[in-house]
Amino acid sequence: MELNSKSPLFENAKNGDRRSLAKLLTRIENGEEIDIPTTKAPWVLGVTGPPGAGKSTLIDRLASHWSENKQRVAILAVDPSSPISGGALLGDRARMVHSNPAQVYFRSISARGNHGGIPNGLEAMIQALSESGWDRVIIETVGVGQGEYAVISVADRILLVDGPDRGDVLQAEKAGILEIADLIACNKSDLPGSLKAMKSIEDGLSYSDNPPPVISVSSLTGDGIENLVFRIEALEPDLGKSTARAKISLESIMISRIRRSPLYDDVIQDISQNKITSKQGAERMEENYGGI
Amino acid sequence: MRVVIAKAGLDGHDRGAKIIARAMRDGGHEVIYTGLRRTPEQIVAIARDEDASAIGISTLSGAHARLIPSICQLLRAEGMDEVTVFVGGIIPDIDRGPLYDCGVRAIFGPGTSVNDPIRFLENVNERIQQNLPVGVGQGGTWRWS
Repeated sequence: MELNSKSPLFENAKNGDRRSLAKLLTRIENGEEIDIPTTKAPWVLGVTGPPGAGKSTLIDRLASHWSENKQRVAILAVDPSSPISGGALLGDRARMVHSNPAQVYFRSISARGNHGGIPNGLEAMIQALSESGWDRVIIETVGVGQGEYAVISVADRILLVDGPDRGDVLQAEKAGILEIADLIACNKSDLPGSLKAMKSIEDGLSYSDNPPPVISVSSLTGDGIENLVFRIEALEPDLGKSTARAKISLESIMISRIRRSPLYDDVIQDISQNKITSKQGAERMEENYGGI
Repeated sequence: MRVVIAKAGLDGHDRGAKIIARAMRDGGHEVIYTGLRRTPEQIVAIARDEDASAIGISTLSGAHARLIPSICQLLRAEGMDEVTVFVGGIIPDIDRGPLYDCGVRAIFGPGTSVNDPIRFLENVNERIQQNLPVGVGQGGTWRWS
């Protein structure tokens, strides 16, 4: 049965039944299509940054700020799956200590083999949340390379989190994240060395065109959180960034479609055994799938 | 399977919980770790929001006789009868009967191999396929041994 706006699961989710919402998201995650008309554009914030920068703790602060202001916040935390077993260890919610679980919806998502790519149904999950009354949707993912950034490219506002002694802004620049990030939070301002970190991030940005602003925050003490919220709320759509995001998300979805093609393994084998060239392999896939 | 690994109450020892979480990931499951010191209400809310099929509660504090029945009862009150509850940690023999009576399907004590909880989940999966009771509110006397 197709999931549409008349499905009891969606109706109940809309009326605040969290269990129905959770089951609805599971079905979307498992590949079911949804047919729910979009009545409003979802408000989506993507948060990324290197491991240990404090993404989850910062999101906890943001979520608690918004929920105290009567906004309904949903968080989708995407973590990689094990390439060997297909299983996943989803631990981001362990950091959620300030936000009230009765008001904030938190859902852990395994990338399920879409290594670094966009998990199946992520955009449909965002739409389902938005249409069932969640005003703010936050997507969290660890940012260690181009692929991971694809996850947050479905968001229309992107926050990069960094902190003292990381020096990952240059890595971020290499991976192209600066093209799509709207703001950089330099977290852990309570630690010694945070001013130096701010400066090194700003220095790292000095060669970029139109670099995102850097804001100092401490998720531990709450310092700077209000300022960060204000800056997020005030973000204006940026055509350059939204074009870059659209490119990344489209390309990521195309890549996962190619990988799911039944021809994929055979073509890879033929190329690896020098039976055909990569170009011929690409042509063979195109012929059979009309360009996938 | 989506499994929540939970630490309830005033209990800071989570090495065991983390090892089991990792082993279950390697067994192909999606494991959600709650973090420390969650209340029974929070654990049930997490399982509900994550649409988990099973909850594993790690307990080393001695408060199992109070916290675990409370979690089982809340799950039934929320209508989450089909969720499987299992327990790991230090549970004296004398306390095991009452936990099974409130719907716990497996108790893993010290000396358990990491493979046991994984085999348990496989068994749960097989029983679900056969429509046999595995959940906290589904009755029956089945338990892992």
